[in-house]
Order: sequence, then C-alpha cells, then structure tokens
Amino acid sequence: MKKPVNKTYSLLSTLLVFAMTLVACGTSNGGDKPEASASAESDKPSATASSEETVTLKFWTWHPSADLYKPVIEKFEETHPGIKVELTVMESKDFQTKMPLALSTQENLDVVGVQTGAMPKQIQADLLPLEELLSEARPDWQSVISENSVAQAKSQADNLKFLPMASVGSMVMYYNKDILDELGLPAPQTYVEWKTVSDKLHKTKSDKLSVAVGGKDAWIMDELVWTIAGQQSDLFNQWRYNGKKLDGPEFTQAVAGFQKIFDDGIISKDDVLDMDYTSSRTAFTSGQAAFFIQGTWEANLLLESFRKSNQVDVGDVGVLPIPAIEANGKPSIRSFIDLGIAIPAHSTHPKEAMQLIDFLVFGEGNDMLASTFAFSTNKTGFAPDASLLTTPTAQQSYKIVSDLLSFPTADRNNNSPFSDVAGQQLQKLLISSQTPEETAKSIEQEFQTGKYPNE
Amino acid sequence: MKISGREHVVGFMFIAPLLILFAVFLVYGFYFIVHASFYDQTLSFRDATFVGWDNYATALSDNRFLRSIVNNLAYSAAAILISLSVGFLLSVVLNMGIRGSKLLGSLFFIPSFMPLALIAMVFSIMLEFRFGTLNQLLHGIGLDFLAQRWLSDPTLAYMSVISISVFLIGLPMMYYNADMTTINTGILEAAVIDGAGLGRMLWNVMFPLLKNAHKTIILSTLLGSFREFERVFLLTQGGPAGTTENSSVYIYSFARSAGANIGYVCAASVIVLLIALGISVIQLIAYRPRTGKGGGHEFRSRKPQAEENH
Repeated sequence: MKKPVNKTYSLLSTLLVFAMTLVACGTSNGGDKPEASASAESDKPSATASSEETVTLKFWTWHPSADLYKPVIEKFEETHPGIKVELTVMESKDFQTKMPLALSTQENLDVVGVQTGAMPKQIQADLLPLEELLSEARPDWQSVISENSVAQAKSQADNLKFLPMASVGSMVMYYNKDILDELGLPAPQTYVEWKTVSDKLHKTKSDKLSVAVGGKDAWIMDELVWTIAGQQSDLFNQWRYNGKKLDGPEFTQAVAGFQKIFDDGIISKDDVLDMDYTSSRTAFTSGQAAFFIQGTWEANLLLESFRKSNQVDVGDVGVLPIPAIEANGKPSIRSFIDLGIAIPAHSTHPKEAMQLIDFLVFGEGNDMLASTFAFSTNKTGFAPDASLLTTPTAQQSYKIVSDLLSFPTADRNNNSPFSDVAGQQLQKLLISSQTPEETAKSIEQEFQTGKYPNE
Repeated sequence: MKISGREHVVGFMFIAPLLILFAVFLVYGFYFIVHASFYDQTLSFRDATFVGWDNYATALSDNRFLRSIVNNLAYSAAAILISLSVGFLLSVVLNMGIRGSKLLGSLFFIPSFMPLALIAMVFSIMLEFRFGTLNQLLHGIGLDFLAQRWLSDPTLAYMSVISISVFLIGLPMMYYNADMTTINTGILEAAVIDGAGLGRMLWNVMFPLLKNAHKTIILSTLLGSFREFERVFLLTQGGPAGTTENSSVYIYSFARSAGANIGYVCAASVIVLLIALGISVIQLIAYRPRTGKGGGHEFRSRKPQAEENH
C-alpha cells in the first residue's frame, strides 16, 4: 500500500533546514545590534565588567608572534582583573584580507592590529576615533610617545583611528659574526668590504652562503631596491606622495645598483631566487649564511636569550645598514610607524579595549615587547635593559638600528599591492636580458595602469 | 506513470533545502562577483565607485593575466598528455595481472589521496638550488652538472610545476581501470588470434576502446586547471618573475594585498569563470547521449560484428 506523504512534516522539515541555514549565515555577535556610527559607538556605555563579571576582549593582529605576546597578555590580565584577552595572531597577508572582511561583516572584535599603508583608509569607517577614549584613559598620552609617530598615525586616516605600537624599517643586513671572524674580516661598512667578504667566502670554497635573502618573495626584492634608492634621496616619498615617475634616472640608478649586487656575486641569484622569507631566515639562523637581509622587525636576533630559546645556531649576530652601492650614497633605511592598534566601531567593550591599547602602546606591555626587540617602540625615553645586550656587537648593533630608525631617508609607507608586481619586474631583470632602464620603464608602465593607486 | 500535481509539490519540498543552499551559496555568490566587478572597491566594500567595464578592460589588456590563462591551459595540456600516456600505459600493464600489481597500483594512487599543498611544499623544499635535497643528492653522487636551478630558471620552473602531474596519475589510472572492466575480452582475444603484437594491442585496440575514459580525463583536467592553486603557489609563487603564474595565483595575489581593488579581482574571476563555463559547454556536448545508437561503449556496438567475424 502506498504510504501517503505527510505534507505537514515535509513543510516543517523544510522550514527547519531553512532556519538552520539562516542561523549559520548570521553574524557571530548575533546580528541583533543596530548599526551605529563610529562616534555614536564611542559614546555608548561600555558593557563594563562588574566585579563579578569577566569581559573577554577579542584581539586580532599579525605581529609579534603569539609566543612573544603570551607573557604580555598574562601580565595584562594579572594587572586588569575582570578582563580576559582572546588573542589571534595571523600571518601578515592573511591578516590583510581576513581582518577588513571581519570588520565589514561586524565580527565581534574588540581590538585589531592595523598595518600602515593602504589599510587605515580602507577600514577607517569601521574604527572608533580614539582621542576621547584616550583622554579619559591617559590624559598625558601625547607626552609618552614621539610626536612624529602621532603625526604619522593621523596622516594615515581621518582623525586618530589607531595608535602605533612601534616603528619598523627596512632593509637592514644582519651578519653572522662567527663567520666573519673565521674569515678574519670585519663587519663590512662599505660596498668594497662587503664584496671582499663574499669573494673570500668563494675563494675558501666555503659551503656558506654569502647573503640569504628571500628572492622568491617579490615584495622583498622591491623593498631591497627602495633601500638602495634611499641611499641617494627620498625618492620613495616623492613617488608615494608627490607623483614622481619611476622611469626617471633616480629609480633607474637604484635598479642598476640592485643588479650590480647580483652581478658582482655578492648575492647569488642562483641561490636566492628560489628562497622565500622563511627559507632565507632559516639559512641564516642555521649558520649557513654570512648575511641576512630583512627588516628591523628581525632585530630580536641580536638577543642571545632569543637565539638560545629559538635554536638559532649563531654565536653572535650584528646589524648593519646595506652598504652604499654608489660612492656618493649614504647607507640608510626607510622607516615608518607600524603595528597600529585600534578599536572596531562595533566593539561591545570599547573602554576595556582602550585599557588594553593603553597597556600595549604606553604601558608595561609595550616595554615588555620592545625588550624582545621585535620592534622599536615609539615611547619616549625607552631604553632596553642593558643586560639583554650581552656582547659588544649586540650593543653596537642596537645603537645602529635605533639611529637608522630615527633618521630614515624616506617613509616605509608601502603600496603593498604594487610592491608584489614591481618585485616581479626586478626578478625578471635578474633572469633575463632586460636592462635597468627597461625594468624601470616596465614598473612605471604597470603603475600607470591604475590598478595600484598611491592612496 | 503520471505524476500528480501534489506529488510534484512534495518532490519540490524534498529538494527545497538543496535549492536554497544552491541559491544562497552559488547563485548569490555569482551575482555578487558579477555585481562587484563593475565597481572600484576594497575588501571593506565601502565607498564603492561604479566604473562600468573598466575592470574588464584592464584585465583583458594585462599581459600578465592573459599569460596566466595560457599557463592554465599549458599545465592542463601537459597533465592530459601525462595521463593519456603514462597513466594509460601503467593502467594497462597493472591490469595484465603481473605480480604485485595491486601494491604498485596503490603506490601510484597514494599521491592522489594526499593534499596537493603538502606535495607542493615537499617539492618546493626538495627542489631548492642551494639546500634542496635533489641537488644535494646529485652533488653527493658526483653528478654536479645535473644540479640545476629547478625553481628559479623560468623553463625549469615550468617543467617542475608540470612534473608534479606525474605524481597525480592515480586518478586517471582509476578512470582507466573502471573503463577497462567494461571491455569485452572477446575483442582482445580476437586481436591476439589475428596476430596483434603488444604495441598494436595498446595503440589500435585498447586506446580507442577507452575513449570514454580519455574524454573524462581531458575535460576534468581542463576544468580542474582553472581551480588549481596550491601546486603553483606553494612551489614557485608564480615566479620567477611571474613566468609560472596561473589564473588562480594571479587573482589571489591581487586579492590578498591591503587596499587592493576587489572589483578588478572580481572582473578577472568572471573572465576565468566564463572560460571554464565554455569548457563545460563543450563537456556537455561531448557527453550528449546520441539517440539511435543506444549509447554506451563503442565496443558494444562493434561486439556483434566482432562475434560475426568469428
């Protein structure tokens, strides 16, 4: 006998599945909170923790690593009873896509990291203005961090939407003091000395690599050429802010200087063009390379304690600027504020979030992180514990990094999407017969397509 | 049997959940991409500016984008060639019942189970010029001249990406194995009696009989090439200098930078989607049942003739 299908049951099961689909697609904060403008949100009373109630702050960022944050967060929770922090540290590029999306879909976040460059303008509508909250939490805040860092933060977005935890610069050259000692050579201050180290490594048929740099990552090649350009002028600022073209003689000279390092065999294109950031770092930290080119965010390599706890197989590490390629050049870096930190407009705990920001930007948290050398703080008068710098090389190098960051030739306010594309043209220069002039023209031509505006 | 109106309604109610999911995740997703492709906007989807067809024009005039599509087709052509040659030969040989054929078949099939990302990562480490295990092995056995820049020389990098297809022949072999079970052994016996050697058996008998498997492999590989990402991204990142970049890596590289124009990313995606749709249409035409012939394997229609001859 044919069993009749129960229409009511069918209808109910369909509705149930539909309802489950809608719930699954809903926002994690329930989606029942009315939208509010950033300013209105800042005025609303915070869902403050009462003495019995614990507030959990959701904090997303990309740097420093979760390991370095762990003791800092523990200290914050210890000194701020009633506030817990749920930290998520993502890989930088993942962070660039996930965080803006999370903000625009009103993900329940309370504190977010902000990368300088294109990101602040992209997400500023989803961030709270900070000045009012700041004046409540720390009225004297402007005297605690450098004036220049505040001005740079304000230039990145309308009003003060984030505070920079630090400044970083690129590119610098880390060196393995043990290898240089074995070769009987000093840390190279000039291009000729740099080449001498490389030549001697080849002559002794050492299995050590001269320079480890992530040539596979196009953005690293772009950073390198801008560092070389910075040895001559503030061309980067002129291009980024004043519309200067890249097919002129200055940028072409920088590209030619970049090519010269490879042609002279200081950096071996055979060795580095298939190395990414991680593998180049591994080559250096495992004692396989005399030099490692990266940003100042790797300065924790100077710390003996860091090297020991992270299996870095190098006895002593120092830092130098990349030697000037041209005789009239001046070794320098580009630097800019970084590691911004902000409160999303939809945070349900803005006051507690401000307490965390205060701790990380002006307070003990910043000191703790700065002492790991993962960044260079903007706090005025900060000096690391002298006992951390255990060798003369480390002490000297810390001063070099501080000076380079304090007196950069140009801003490291990168146009990230374009950096990847320009870097590809620089790779092409190394593997084809393309000339520096043609490379500079190609880079300018690509920029003119309008796909990567300098906003 | 006539289906009543009420049964139609009930039938639709059963498939309604799937239709709703389809509408939400596929139709809306497609609408969203097409709509966004006409705007200049970032990942925050605020302050979008209508730019008409500009994003499409920019994508179509970008040599890098066009080259990435050519690379898709080149990689799939190579994968098809490897599947139709190496995959076919191995399937036939293993089906001959040689000793250990099941174990060998499993070994060839294992890489197809493994995440492609893992395979690409392992290859990326193995093929490094300075510290890669392949070159170190070559140096170790005195074959220094064979140590190459596998990932940083444009031609060799291209070959390295393609070479991974050899490790992925498990799936094509499975298609061949499935299709071979439908072959009438009488045809093979007839060929042997007629004096066909191994070469003739493979090329003139087996290869045409496995026509359906060939079609499946060709079309699935072609369509799969437009979804493929991990192999290129993790092995070469599309480099050196973008020479190995395919459309997925191109699109991803634009989408992942802060401040990137997502409208442009969507326009490039729509173009790739349209090309993939075109290939799907070819697939539909190729698989359209031929009325009057009874469908099925070609050997079946030949079977009576073969039997008549004997």
